[in-house]
Amino acid sequence: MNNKVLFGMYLPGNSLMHRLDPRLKLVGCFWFVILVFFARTWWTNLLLIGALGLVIWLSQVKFSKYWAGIRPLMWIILFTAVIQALFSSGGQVYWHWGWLAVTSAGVAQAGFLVLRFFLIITSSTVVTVTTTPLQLADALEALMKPLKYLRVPVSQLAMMVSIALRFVPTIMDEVGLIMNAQRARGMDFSSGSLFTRAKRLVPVMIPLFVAAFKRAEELAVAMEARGYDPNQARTKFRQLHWQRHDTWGTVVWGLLTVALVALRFVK
Amino acid sequence: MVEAAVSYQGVTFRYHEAGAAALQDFTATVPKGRLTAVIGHTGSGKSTLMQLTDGLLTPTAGQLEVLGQVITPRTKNKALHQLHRQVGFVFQFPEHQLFAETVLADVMFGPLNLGQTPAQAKQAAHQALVQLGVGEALWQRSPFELSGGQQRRVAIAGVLAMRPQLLILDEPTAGVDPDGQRELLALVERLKGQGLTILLITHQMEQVAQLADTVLVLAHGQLQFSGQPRALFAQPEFLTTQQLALPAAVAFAKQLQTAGISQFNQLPLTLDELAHALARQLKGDHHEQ
Ligand SMILES: Nc1ncnc2c1ncn2[C@@H]1O[C@H](COP(=O)(O)OP(=O)(O)OP(=O)(O)O)[C@@H](O)[C@H]1O
Ligand SMILES: [Mg+2]
Repeated sequence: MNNKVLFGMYLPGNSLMHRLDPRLKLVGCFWFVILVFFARTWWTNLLLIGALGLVIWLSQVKFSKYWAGIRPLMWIILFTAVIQALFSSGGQVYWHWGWLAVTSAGVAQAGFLVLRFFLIITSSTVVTVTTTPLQLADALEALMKPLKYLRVPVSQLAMMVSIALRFVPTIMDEVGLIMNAQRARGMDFSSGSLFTRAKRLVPVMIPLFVAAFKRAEELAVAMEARGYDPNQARTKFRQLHWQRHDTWGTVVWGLLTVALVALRFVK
Repeated sequence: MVEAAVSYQGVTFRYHEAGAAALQDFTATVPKGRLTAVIGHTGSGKSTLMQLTDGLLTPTAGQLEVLGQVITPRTKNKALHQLHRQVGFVFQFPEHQLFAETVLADVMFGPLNLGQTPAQAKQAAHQALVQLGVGEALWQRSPFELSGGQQRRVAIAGVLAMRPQLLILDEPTAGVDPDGQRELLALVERLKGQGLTILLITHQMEQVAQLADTVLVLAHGQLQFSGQPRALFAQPEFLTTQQLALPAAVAFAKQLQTAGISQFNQLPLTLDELAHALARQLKGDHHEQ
């Protein structure tokens, strides 16, 4: 629809980040988030920003596109940061009003908070921007495999996830279509108070749900008719292959961890 | 020359900035009070053209004038609100827009959006439902309990209840049984008789032959033909290049001609016309002029 990177939207490409094994990207992102909470000094955070800059550069997607995706969330983050700055104490007091006070420790904490949110959101956006939803589902399935021994129906869950992801664009198209049909019937979506606007969603949501349930049922029948048996072992059409650049990626992330630990404790 | 209800002036439309044009430099007019059929292979841009006509999309380049309102690439959505109310748009598979608790409430939705009082809206809904042949027994039922054909009628009634000045029908007979199709076409004919301007998208050439005053043929978002159905069906080679068929009556008459059995001065467009022409010839009236 537009060329903004919405949080979680895939952008086709053929960069190194696009070609990296989705399992590595998922685990790497998860690991990065842990590191973000582990980093407490300016130097360690600087290191993380450097690492994030590296993967962004490798993804060959312009930072402005990521920024467009983060910006809507920035308001929530800033709001949280302001609350943080007002309600924490310690250090030099800059300003106070009753029990609200802005202190040097509060400002520093708020600064870290914004930075952490930024790092986490951007790093996960790098993964979703460079990985197709189906690849992500495959990676999830591969990573959840050990749970099979706990009798978790991993392949069924993976099938559900990939079907759900597959139908997101279809349902988005349908929202547009139904909204148009109701606009053609004289409905005005663009004016009125918040409450009347919310009420106007009824003529859109009901047909949408009806269609979604109908489609789900039809799909289930069609899958059964073609012999889908959820309990059968399944083979895969898309195979994940570990390659040399995946090993290098792991090494880089390992080095990042070592550097971070060193910076934190050597000081 | 009849007054134009819609005129397209070099309209180009792209769904994506970089993508292919769904409509390319489209110029045509739709005469007022007539039925204009829009035909073309699937994906040729018919539905896109209709959404532009209702102001649901604004052109990427060029402009169009619908019922006196000019739409340019810079027209704001707010300004088009009035147009949605004057144009009745029956979407492809319109039953997908049903949402209310009862059939009657759903048909009243449009008139209420026009600012009518509940009493007025109810009256408009009654009329439209009767016009569509939806029996009173169904009015208090949930629209989701109806059959597909009944849902289609209720959805069309929901548009007609708004008493539009221009009616757009996007394949109204798709997926309807033959009896239902015949009734819907009879309704379209009646509406046409009342002087309503109608744009009809269809894949069935019989409907074009039977109902249309003018035909627009689209291919790859470009206008290929604009004129009377008779002129269109007189060019079978052109139709083949457009992947369009001849109406049954025309095809049959052509075969009679090539087999040397009968000659027609004017090709019959519908089965009725064909039957009349043949009857006249069989009575020995060989030089019909
Ligand atoms: N929402 C959309 N986003 C992107 N492209 C679209 C969208 N809707 C239609 N198109 C493209 O625009 C072109 C014209 O589509 P359109 O729906 O107008 O065709 P149509 O003539 O109505 O076809 P049909 O006879 O199948 O209904 C097609 O190539 C289609 O792929
Ligand atoms: Mg269409």
